[in-house]
Amino acid sequence: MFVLEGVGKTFANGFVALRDLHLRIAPGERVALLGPSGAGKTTLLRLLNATLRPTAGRLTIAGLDSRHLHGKRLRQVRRTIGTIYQQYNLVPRLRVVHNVLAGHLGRWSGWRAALSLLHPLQLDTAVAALQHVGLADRLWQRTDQLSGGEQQRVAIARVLVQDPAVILADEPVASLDPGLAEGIVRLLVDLAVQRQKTLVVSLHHVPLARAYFPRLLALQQGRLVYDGPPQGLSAAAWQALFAEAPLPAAAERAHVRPVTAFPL
Amino acid sequence: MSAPSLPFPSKRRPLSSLLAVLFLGAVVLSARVAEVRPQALLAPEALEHLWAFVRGMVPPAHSPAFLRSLLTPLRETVQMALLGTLLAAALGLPLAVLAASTVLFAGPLHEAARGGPLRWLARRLPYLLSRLLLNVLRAIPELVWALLFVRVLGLGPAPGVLALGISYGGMIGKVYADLLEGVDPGPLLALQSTGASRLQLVLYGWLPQALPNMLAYTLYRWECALRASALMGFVGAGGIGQHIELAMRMFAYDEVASLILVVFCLSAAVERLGDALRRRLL
Amino acid sequence: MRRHGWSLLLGLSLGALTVWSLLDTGLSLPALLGAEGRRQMALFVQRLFPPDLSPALLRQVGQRALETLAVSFLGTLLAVGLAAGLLGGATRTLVQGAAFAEAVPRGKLRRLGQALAYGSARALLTLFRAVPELIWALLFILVVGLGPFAGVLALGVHTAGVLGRLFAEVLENVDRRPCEALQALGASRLQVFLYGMLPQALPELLSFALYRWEVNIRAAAILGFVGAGGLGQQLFVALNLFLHQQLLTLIAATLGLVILVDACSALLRRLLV
Repeated sequence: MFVLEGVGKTFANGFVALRDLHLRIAPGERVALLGPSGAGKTTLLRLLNATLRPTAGRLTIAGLDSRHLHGKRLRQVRRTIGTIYQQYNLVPRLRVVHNVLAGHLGRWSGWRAALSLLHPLQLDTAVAALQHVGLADRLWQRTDQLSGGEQQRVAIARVLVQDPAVILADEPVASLDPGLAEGIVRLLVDLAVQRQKTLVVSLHHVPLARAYFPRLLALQQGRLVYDGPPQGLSAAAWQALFAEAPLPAAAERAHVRPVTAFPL
Repeated sequence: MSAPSLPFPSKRRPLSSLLAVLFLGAVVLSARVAEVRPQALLAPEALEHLWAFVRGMVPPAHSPAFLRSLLTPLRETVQMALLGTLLAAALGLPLAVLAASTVLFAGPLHEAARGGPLRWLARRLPYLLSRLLLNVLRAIPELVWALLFVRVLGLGPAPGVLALGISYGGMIGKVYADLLEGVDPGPLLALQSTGASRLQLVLYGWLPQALPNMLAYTLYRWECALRASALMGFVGAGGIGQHIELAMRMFAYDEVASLILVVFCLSAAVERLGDALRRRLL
Repeated sequence: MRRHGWSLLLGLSLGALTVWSLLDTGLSLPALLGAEGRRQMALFVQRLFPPDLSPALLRQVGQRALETLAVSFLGTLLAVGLAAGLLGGATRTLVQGAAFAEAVPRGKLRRLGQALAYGSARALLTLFRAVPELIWALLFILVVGLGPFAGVLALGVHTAGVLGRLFAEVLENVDRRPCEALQALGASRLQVFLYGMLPQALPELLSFALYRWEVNIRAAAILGFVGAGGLGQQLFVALNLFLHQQLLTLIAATLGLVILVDACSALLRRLLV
């Protein structure tokens, strides 16, 4: 599904997030991505879903070189990759139903999308997806009225509607109660197993990763330091991996909304 | 499967459809009242007029004599805006202090305040009166004020300054008052506990805290004042507007073009300058 | 210390400019508020009373007030439409399709095209708002003749310049993360706008539009000075024909209208935003 050959990523501000990554992820594989914050997990996932492009090496997604993806082709590739984010990245003021139906956008035309905002189209798909994550009764609610755990499940419902070949999840449980974390991870894993989807999840909770994923990847300061089954490393070795002082989080993440001073 | 596939069971549904109907009705009614006829824009004679206008504008008037004649109105425009804004601030500030409820009676500073109904009234009356006055001042457009002042004082920039001062005084006063009400009460309480008087509280507590925002808003009003004073001439209150109207009536489109260009540059420059100064302030 | 120097410089130049303006315009408050000035004003105010409240005038004023209201409403609506039409070009994040993720290196021609679209849309907005509505009104009267329709067009064009700039800024400042998520699942530029940016920005956009309506009711009341309909036209006539008693009625009508619109706008803001 993904082939990385010497992939590196340096941001415009000079920050080197990833260097010289060699990696192969086969269709249907379930992979957990581990590492301290700032190790480059988010950047790697954003490379895999074709939001960013590598600045070095070669990344092929389903046999297509990501450097040569543009316009329509790019959209088609993105359609086959579903992403779940730490901060859910739902549109807060939209109703749950529209956030879920947004999964169809890669297939819908512009006017169909506009129409659906006025009168939801393919409503049954949204209902089915929400039932799957246990939120069918929230269909018409505004998304920002939901709790964090519920919003993450809405985000999963959006991926269900999207029906991609790959599911990427970037720290899907880091903003949630520890009690809810395992439920969300299990939901994702079951989904991937049942529907034969490739699953790549970044986590910083080692026990969860070891319990649910047959293959683990560990990143440290932008380098791949481990690739193999959970048994390959002792618990103490994992501890050491995270003991390293965390780097400041990548500067590209935060976006602060400025206060409108005086338009009046 | 108990799919809740009912369409929009929203509580706001009746309200939004009512608003939509009202809105559409208002559009249709307004279009009739305002004699909207889009086809008039494309009528042959309309296009002809437009073409004559555009052709007449090229090249803009640029004889030295004409350009020299622009200097006086341009100077008047700038002066009118400056004096008008200053007058407005001078008028707005005292009214704002009276119109800020937290200064006179509301908020944590007045929790200890006691007194009979007379004291109660004495505190609220100035507030209500100054709010009312501010509302009236700013509800009447500056050009209407100018029209009235021209009748009383005669032609020239003086009525323009007064008109700007009064209508903008209303707007500035209201915004200043809102800013004063929004000030952090913490430092005020600290000052009060040292035994400071009401006036001292205003000078050392309220004003310093609200000042950057007040200045920023005044600056914005000055930008508006420049644009407005370019129009004061339409009612005889000096400035560049007088020349625009005159040139338009004389069908001197080349002069109109130059004058519009001047107004355009003035207002674009002021916008830039205002943005730059505001960034420095806030 | 540096900051202090700046303020001092600014203060001094402001003072100098004020003195120069005062001397140059020959404006002196004492003269205005002195005995003669006060007498003039009192005389003028006296002549306003009693206001003319004859049914014929009231009917006419009512009609003109309605016209003013219609002009301000349609003008604002037209402005929203025009501004929305230009938004695709004037919003940086919309022009550069991939701005939610990373500028996709494309052909030079493509980037030139984007820069051109953005530049021309912004320039057009600047032109719209830098020319005051009264001057737009003169121009449109030339094209469509005297009457309120010219006023609608004038308000629409000028306000489009103001709203277009504000709208673009609001849209550029929405939270990008949901937009990026939509883009990552294959949404097109238009779809990202519809599902990601618009829902986030809508309350602010509405609030700005309502605010401009409040400004435009005041503007619509003076457009009549140049013949674009509404209360202003009658005000101008009344003043020039020395019909002072009608003047007070007309000013009261303007006042009432403005307060009405302010209240409506505040109500709508509470309901919608």
